[in-house]
Amino acid sequence: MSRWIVWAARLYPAPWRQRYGAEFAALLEDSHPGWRDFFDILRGALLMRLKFPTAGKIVAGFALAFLVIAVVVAVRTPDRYMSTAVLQFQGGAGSDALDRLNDAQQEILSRNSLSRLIQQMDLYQAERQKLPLEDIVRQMRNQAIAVRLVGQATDANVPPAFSISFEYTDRYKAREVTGQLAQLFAGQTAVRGSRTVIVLDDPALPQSPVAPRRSRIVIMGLGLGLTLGLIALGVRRWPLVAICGAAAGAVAFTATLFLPARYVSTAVPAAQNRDTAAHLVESLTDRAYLRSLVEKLNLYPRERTKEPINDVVENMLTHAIRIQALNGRQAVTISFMAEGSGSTAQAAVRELVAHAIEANVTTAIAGASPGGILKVLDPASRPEGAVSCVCQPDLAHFDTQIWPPCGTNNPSVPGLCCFRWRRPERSPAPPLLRRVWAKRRPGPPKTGDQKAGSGIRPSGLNSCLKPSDSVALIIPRDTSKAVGAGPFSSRYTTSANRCSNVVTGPRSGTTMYSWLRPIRNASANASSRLSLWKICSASSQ
Amino acid sequence: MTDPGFLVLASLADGEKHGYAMMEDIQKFAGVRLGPGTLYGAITRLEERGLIRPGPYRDRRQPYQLSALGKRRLEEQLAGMDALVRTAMRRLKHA
Repeated sequence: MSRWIVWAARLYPAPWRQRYGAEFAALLEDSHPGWRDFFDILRGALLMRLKFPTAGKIVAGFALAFLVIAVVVAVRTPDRYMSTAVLQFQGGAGSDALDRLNDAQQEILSRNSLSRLIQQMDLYQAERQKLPLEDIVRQMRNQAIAVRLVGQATDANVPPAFSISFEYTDRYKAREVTGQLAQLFAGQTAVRGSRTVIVLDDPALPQSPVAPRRSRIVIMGLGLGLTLGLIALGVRRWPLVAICGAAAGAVAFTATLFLPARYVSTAVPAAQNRDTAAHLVESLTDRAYLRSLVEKLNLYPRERTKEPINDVVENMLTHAIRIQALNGRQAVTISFMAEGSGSTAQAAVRELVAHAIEANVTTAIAGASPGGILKVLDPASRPEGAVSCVCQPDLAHFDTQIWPPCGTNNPSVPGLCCFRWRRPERSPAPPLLRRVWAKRRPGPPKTGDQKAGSGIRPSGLNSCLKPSDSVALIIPRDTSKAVGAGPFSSRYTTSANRCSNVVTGPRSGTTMYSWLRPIRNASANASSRLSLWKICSASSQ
Repeated sequence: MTDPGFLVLASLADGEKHGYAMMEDIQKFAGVRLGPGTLYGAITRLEERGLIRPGPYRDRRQPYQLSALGKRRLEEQLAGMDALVRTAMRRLKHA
């Protein structure tokens, strides 16, 4: 017994044994300890070990704590199921198949399309309570949906096949959404070309989850714990260095509080061909236009008092505007970064997109460009934290397949601008908050037309339309009946895939808003989407 | 009442004692036998807090005695317990 007691007493940490070891040994000699005392000594040694931390214990403690957290996280993370559908182009291979697939992918995975799908299928309920819809759309596009080519995509004799996968926590919804995406892809690629796409494999109900990889979460937690334990050791070993680092961090954090917040808005237009895309980029980097943009939106007021406008424009082009080809194809992302205000960034991107459209139309009519179609896949995004408006017109997309070009029969109309009215996608503020906002922000004085109750915001329309512009309105079939004899002159009728009537206006003497109000009301009554197409001002002359 | 720290303080109230003497004394007046690990855990804690202080070694045995702070702390605890006991006793009589 005494041998076990001596062994247990050695488990006390060395600093403690140096101080109390001799007298503790004397106590053990006097008290003739038994088994109960043996366990009591073991318990005491363990408590003392915790009381006198060593490097190994610190690291092990952190590792153990994070291991426990990782296990809890791994257990609580819900299973994710993946459903996959396989589609194939029909009618032999062709070089345009992949192009059409890419175009369809850009269209279907655009913000508008995915937003509709999320709301239609009631996806991401919990996330939508916490995050803006745009973030959820981005997460869905980047993490949940995968479109992959199947087999030898480069073989010219084999019709390409591709798979569409969707990952979600509910396996039934995963299958349903995959089916929807497959239908959208099939429909979209068929619309854009002569060949059809068939669904080879319907999405099956996933049986086993594909995520989360719980062992990976646990290993990551353990690794993080070990790393933090080593950092804690360093802090303990070199406290002065740690204090200096913490002070520097606090100073840096305080400094960041005085820096203005930056907001980035992004839009994604896509051209029909590379030449049009190149022309788009060229038109957006035109210094004269950028100068007018700076003055129109009153950008950089402080810098403009100190520097010549040309330098301000160059700085803006270098630091604030980013124009980037997406996936090396015709789609282009246009981003603008503004300090202090998200709405400024959004307005700037709207202006840039509108200018690209107008430049494309103008040069096409003049015969100076190839006249490819411009299509806005994603309109100017609302930067996080920006004030959302009640009814915000959104630059949506262009399509010229149904439009006779500016009174001519030229089938290569370069661009038409389509507006769409939509309710804000964020969940509305609580009633009390709305009342407070309404009191605090009375808003701009209303014009006579607005007071009549149209709800159309002139600020949004003005980003691309002026009352003097000639515009074309594409009215869905049911809406056109409701509009009836409105203040428009109906010149064109076409049996397009989506629309039945094309009317132009406004008549001289009517303002843009009075012209649009009854159409919008009729559109709302018919619960259908309203599309407004703009022809450049030059075309109406 | 069975807190090892309180029992050690109570044991040292009548003068300095070494570990084994405290163990015997506590068993005698409180009926609680503190194991060696528990006893020295309490001694370590009380010494760190300045409630007891070591005296000169005597034949490998280290005697301890109450410090002024320890004495005051013990008096406070006893006063609190005394009030508690009195109240409970009074209520028992009226029950």
